[in-house]
Amino acid sequence: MQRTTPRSAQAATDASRRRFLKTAAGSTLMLGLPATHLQARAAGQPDPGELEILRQRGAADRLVLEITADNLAVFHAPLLDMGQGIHTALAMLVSDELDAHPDLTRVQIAAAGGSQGYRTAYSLSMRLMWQPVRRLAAEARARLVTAAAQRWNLDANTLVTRDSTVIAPDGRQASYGELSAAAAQVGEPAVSTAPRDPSGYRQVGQGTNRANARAIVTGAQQYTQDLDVPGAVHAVIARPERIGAGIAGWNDARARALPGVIDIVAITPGGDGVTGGIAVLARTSHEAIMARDALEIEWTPGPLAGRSDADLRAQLVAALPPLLPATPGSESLDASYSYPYLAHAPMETLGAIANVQGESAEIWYASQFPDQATQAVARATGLDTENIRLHIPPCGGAFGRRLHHEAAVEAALVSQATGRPVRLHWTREDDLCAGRYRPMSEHRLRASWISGQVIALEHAVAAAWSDLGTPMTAGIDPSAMASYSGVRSVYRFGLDQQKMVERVLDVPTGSWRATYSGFITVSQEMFIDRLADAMGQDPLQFRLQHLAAERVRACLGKVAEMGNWGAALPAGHAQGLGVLNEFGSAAACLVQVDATNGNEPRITRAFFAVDVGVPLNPRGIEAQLQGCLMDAWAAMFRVGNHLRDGTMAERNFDSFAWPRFDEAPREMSVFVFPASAGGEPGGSGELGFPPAAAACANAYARATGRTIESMPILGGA
Amino acid sequence: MVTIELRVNGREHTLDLPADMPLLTVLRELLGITGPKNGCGNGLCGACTCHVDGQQPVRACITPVSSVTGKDIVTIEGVADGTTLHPVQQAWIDEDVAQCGFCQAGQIMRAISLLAENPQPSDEDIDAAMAGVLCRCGTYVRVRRAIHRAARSER
Repeated sequence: MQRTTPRSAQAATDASRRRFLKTAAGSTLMLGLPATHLQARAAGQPDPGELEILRQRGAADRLVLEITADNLAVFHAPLLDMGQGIHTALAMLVSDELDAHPDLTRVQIAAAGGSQGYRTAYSLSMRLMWQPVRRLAAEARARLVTAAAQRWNLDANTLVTRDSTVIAPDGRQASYGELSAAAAQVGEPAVSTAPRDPSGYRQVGQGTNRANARAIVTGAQQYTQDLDVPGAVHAVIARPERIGAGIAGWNDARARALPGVIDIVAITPGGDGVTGGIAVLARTSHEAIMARDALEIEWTPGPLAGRSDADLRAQLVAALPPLLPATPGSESLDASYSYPYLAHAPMETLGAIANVQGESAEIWYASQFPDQATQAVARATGLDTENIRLHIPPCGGAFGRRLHHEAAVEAALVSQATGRPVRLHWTREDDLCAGRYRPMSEHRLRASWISGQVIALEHAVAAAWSDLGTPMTAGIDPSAMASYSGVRSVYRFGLDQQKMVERVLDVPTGSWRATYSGFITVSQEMFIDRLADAMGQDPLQFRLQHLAAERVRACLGKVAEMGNWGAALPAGHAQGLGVLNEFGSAAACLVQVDATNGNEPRITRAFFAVDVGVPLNPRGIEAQLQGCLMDAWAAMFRVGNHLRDGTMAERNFDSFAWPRFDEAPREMSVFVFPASAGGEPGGSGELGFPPAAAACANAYARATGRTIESMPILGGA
Repeated sequence: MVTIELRVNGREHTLDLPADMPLLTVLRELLGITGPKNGCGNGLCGACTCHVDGQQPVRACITPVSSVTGKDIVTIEGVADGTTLHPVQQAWIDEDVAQCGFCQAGQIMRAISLLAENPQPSDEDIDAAMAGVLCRCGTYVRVRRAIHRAARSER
């Protein structure tokens, strides 16, 4: 295994040193990082995160840490904080390594030009940033100390740093801000530029509140639709009822006569998920919606006319890789699981502001994948990417949805067609009926055993193709290949294999929190309970006996203790377990479900134990796990998007019945294992979903005696 | 079009508007008061919750502006006392409730209404009152803690 070791001052080459300094002649210190210093730990079969680190490696020289003249340390993060708290955690890391005062440390989204190649996905942010941010901050600190030593004519090794200040033995002090310009002129730092040992960090590992909490609770945080862009007119798009349908004819005479209407233009379907439709521009979004509803449009049938869930599901079933026959003389168990399409439905729907004027464009869109968004706008408008400026405002959740950027492209097209700055709003109906979905999937599992010993466990998956929006998948027909989910078994059985095929169907898809493990691992973990039951074993003991990963075993043992596994419970109440080993982290979940109230089961207690290697902000991690639990409950029990004659049936939050307040457990606790020595951070944003989903389903199955085969378990709205 | 007089966060506004225009559209798009959010447009998610006439919670996205003429309207921007946060806002920070933050104006406004009529709510009271405000990040557990904290601080 290749490991990155801290870079010593001596090891830095002159070439890399020059590349560190972004603005040699500048008035403040702005440091970038040589790409060659970012290394992945990939060894053997890499997980998707390691592949992604390798892919993004070439973009590392765009990371910038700045020390402003007014004494702020500003890290320009190329990653989007969608509520998962990464900017708060990165600020803690910068502050600790740099010895910058927490109140004088900022993390802000890098300008899109600075986020070439980066995408915020796969719970990768801390894995990706841990090394480079520490290097940048250590380098900056060394330069600031050197600048102070030069100013005072002292040995740099006698100086200390604290709270954004360099302090001399005689008590003299200089702020980082006042040293910044001189630090930018330092040739070779006189003290080590190696990051310190993480055990010396004071904030990292301590629960910290999110940096933008005050802005949120006062209503001051501005999301895309809150921005005041002069002259921007409101727009909505009339979209086809049936997915993939086109416009056969339209008449806007009635719509144009309505108050507030400014313009009406057709959008041609194009690449990048742009479905086409009729855009209505008006003084307000309300007037735009009124006029949209007054349009007379004749739609073509589209590829899904007359087709429903069952038709698409039959295609997947036909594509399922065959399972091996059970070994002669063995006992065996089969199970099948079905998952529906599932919208991301972030609270803030997609939306974008665009101002296309002549050969240049300014776009406001909260993208998880900015360079792809910019290129998509360029493809659609014919503009050069260098002439497209993408602003990235905060966003109201994403869960994978903003890896795609239809709204940005549409807004640009409407602006280009009308010559006006345009504020495009996606209604919730657009989001749920004309959006993207976690792919539908079908699962078949078979295990066989002889004399109490498992000799084989097979898992066949057929899923609608996941459009991850990456250049890596462009041009490849996924139906022609076995797909790589990156999801690995955590157990040690005899023959233990997973085969997945994907089929390109006509419903747009996207990556949804826990992209593949969200159905693959969940199915396996439900099957493990069935298998243990069939073999007459306790689900906890069975897992402990067969788990291969020590970290997972530790999490499972911990959560069993926290939740008092096996405690006597009233009739209709039961506990369930689930585990995960992914994202460079390990997790276990135990939930207790009350299923006594018919079709309204509730989680009464929930417990997580997680090992994320190095937890930066345990409070943020806890929030992620709480969120994963609600997502898991929603996806397994409540919601799905169902195709009926080419149209998604769920149109808003009445039928897309996302869990409400009373479905959150009254008792919930999270245990985060402390940092392991020499460890690196794993991901935690998606970590809780698969184990929680399995734990909820397993608890419900044990409470009711039901065999779970089809999600959502309660049948949807 | 009708002439509408609105009092929002203590400020008077006079506008000529279609009578059926939703209050949320007026607040956000014509007055630039963007704290209340549009999450569903149908009164289903509660992200637009404001107060009318004291601390009555209303869903601004389905409230015709003509129905609130002359009434006192308060949005999330109007609940703090200068730079001193409302106890519920402070409790939200102390419990680190928010994640993406998009629904939180609605959560806070609804929680203030709840505490105004029931200063010491039980978990059941909280579940019932807050059921109309959807959170997609799953902050419910912390919202509940924050409401209990605010109730203690106001006691």
